[in-house]
Amino acid sequence: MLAHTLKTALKVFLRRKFFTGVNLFGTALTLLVLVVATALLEHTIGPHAPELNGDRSLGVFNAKLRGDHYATNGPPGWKLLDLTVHGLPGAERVSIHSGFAPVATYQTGRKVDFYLKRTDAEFFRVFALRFLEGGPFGEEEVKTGARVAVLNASTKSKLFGADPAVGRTVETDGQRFRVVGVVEDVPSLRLTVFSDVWVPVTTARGDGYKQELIGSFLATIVGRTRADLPGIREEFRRRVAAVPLPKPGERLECAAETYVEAVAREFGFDENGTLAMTAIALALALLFMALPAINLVNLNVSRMLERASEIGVRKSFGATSRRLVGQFVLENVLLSLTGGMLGLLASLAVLAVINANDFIPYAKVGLNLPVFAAGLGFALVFGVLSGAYPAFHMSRLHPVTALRGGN
Amino acid sequence: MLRHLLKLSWHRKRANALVGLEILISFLVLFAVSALGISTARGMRAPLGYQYRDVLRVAIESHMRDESASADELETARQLLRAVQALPEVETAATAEIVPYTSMQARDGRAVNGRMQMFGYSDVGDAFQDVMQIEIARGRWFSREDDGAAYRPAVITADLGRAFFGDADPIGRNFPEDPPLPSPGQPAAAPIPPTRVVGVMDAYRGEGEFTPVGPYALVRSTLSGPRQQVPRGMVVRVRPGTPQSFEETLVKTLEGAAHDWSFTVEALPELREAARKRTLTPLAVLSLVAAFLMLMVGLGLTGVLWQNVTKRTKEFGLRRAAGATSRQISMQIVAEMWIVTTLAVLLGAAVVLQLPLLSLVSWLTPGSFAVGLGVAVGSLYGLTAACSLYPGWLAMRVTPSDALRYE
Repeated sequence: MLAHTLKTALKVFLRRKFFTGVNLFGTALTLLVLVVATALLEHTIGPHAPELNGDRSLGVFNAKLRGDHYATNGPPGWKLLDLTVHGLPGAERVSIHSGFAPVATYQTGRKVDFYLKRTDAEFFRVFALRFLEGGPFGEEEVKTGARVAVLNASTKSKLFGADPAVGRTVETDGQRFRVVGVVEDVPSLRLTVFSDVWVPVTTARGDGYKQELIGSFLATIVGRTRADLPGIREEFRRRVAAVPLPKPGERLECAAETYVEAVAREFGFDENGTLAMTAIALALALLFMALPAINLVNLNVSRMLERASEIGVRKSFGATSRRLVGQFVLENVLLSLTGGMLGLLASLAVLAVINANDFIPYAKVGLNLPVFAAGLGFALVFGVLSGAYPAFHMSRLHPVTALRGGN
Repeated sequence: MLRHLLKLSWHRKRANALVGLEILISFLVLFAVSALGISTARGMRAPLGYQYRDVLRVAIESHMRDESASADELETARQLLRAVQALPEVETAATAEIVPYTSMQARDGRAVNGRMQMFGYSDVGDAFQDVMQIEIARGRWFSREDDGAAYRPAVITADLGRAFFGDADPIGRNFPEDPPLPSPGQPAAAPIPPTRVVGVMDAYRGEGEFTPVGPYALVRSTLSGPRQQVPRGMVVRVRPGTPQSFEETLVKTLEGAAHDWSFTVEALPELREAARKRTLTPLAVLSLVAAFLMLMVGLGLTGVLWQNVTKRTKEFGLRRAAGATSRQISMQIVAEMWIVTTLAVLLGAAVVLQLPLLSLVSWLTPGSFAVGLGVAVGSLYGLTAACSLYPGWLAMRVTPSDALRYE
């Protein structure tokens, strides 16, 4: 039976090539946009290098100091993190590091812009940066404020060309750093890890940062297992509540959370906002599919007449409406899957363009299994969405009318 | 004739409803993209109110985020400014919190007649006018003569003056609602002085030309007195023809004057180029996707009409036999399509009219709204007419004898 259905489907597709073409074009286009969006999302938050432990990690991204009539909001300061994140029970590793800040060097005779991030030594154990040359700086260098730096491959080649860089110096922010290591570029969408140059936190000019509750730092906490995370969150909350505040009556709000939770909070969702945000993202994807789907529905409904005699014959010989609906939906799903495959191929090309261009620095967006699965999922939803109504409509045709040709 | 067409459309109401829904969604997409594109284009063509060439922007990271700076910190800031102004390449320099093209913004709002009037603002030093070459339309720029005044002098854009004071002359007036009512917990010893308008500019695009046109205020800041903060930035006008390598000299000078602070120098034309990319790239991607969606809708509608014409061969034949010209037949196809389009556009216009009526999007000016609506309506009628061309031509070829024999 299935073989027969497939054969009919193929015949129907080939009979009117224009309509099949329009169907495929619409589906492929829709899937292209959705797949590229999903791939970018996966590239940003998916669990791969350098954030291999992303699924058992928490971050401290934001802090808010509230008084009666004012609020200061921003990344947490060094003091707040130093008082709270060390030695959390259940935590395997903890790193405190600054956000990335734009700096420049003029040492090659022209200006080279890059981003600088100040980190502790743990940073290189928390994140899996792949070293191409040399190695990270360690506790000793961080303790003494040694002027050492780790460069990414692009900055290294901008400054030193193809020569080895370890042992050479980079002059920036009024300081001269000795290069100790070169790592593979970190994609700029990996906001927690991304930078061009990493230097010890203690090399900061002045130590005003050590007194800040709100400042320019963030912390990454890796739990031993996922099960440790709730305990870590709870203990972190207790410690934040115990931080001494500059003025009486002030309150400090700061949480250890996942990156997605932090983004959800940024958009104004509350603690369980991840779910709501996912729902909204899926709703937007459905909304985006609506126009191509309705387009297909219209096409399919108007083509019903072509199939009227077929439906009439099938009905006269006892095919149930359900069976017919199943057949038409299956046909549409087949077409959508074909279109989906074309869309996936096209998105490979688009992603190659994104990777080759400078839109998103160091992006290596690819199609991996989750993205591929999401693409097929979207195609399936799309096929059912655009096939159900016309199928229902067709199956309701009365056999007598159908045999006479529709109207 | 129109009544006859309306009747025909009504008979096919279910199929037409679906086609109408498709046109409605297309209309919404077209409107969104064209309104966005038109307000961006208008924003880029509106007068800037300043000159960005030969201006450098210095970002200052002082790690001092207390509510007001200490006397020492202000002294350091004054020294910075003097050191920069003493450089031979520098024409003049001023402190500035918010500089165009930096994606930083500051917003404030005042209730005017019960409605919150929002505006952007930046705290700037006295020389800011000379650095940015701002033209004053009425009144004056603030200067030394405002030292010791019991108000904070401000220069505002003409549209902010109109929003605050209507047709009255804004010069010499305090911002509405200033000073804010002292709140119970706040010490009464430090009243905040009101902000007073001393001058009016025709235009000042505080965030650059790639953001929507909006009201703006430049408020005087000095590096002395209470409640002053360490400035977050500085703008420097250099002599025309100064090489880029001067940036390095500037950074060295700054670092020499303030050892604990960090500085980043960027040329305004470069920042502008980056802002241009940041704004136009997403817009281009959006337009491209919308164009492909419209192509898909166009092909889909053509398909629907094609089927429709095939189905109605008999009807057209009858009309031809009764004396209608082939031109009239093809006009009938277009007219029927336009009836559905008109209904969908009316519905869609009712939906998008809610945006200005409920003031849901602040960036959409009435002008951009009207033009955007016009473009969306025009291109939609064009699209549906184009879709009717081929099916209309098919219908034209129907001869009465063929049609009446057709089964």
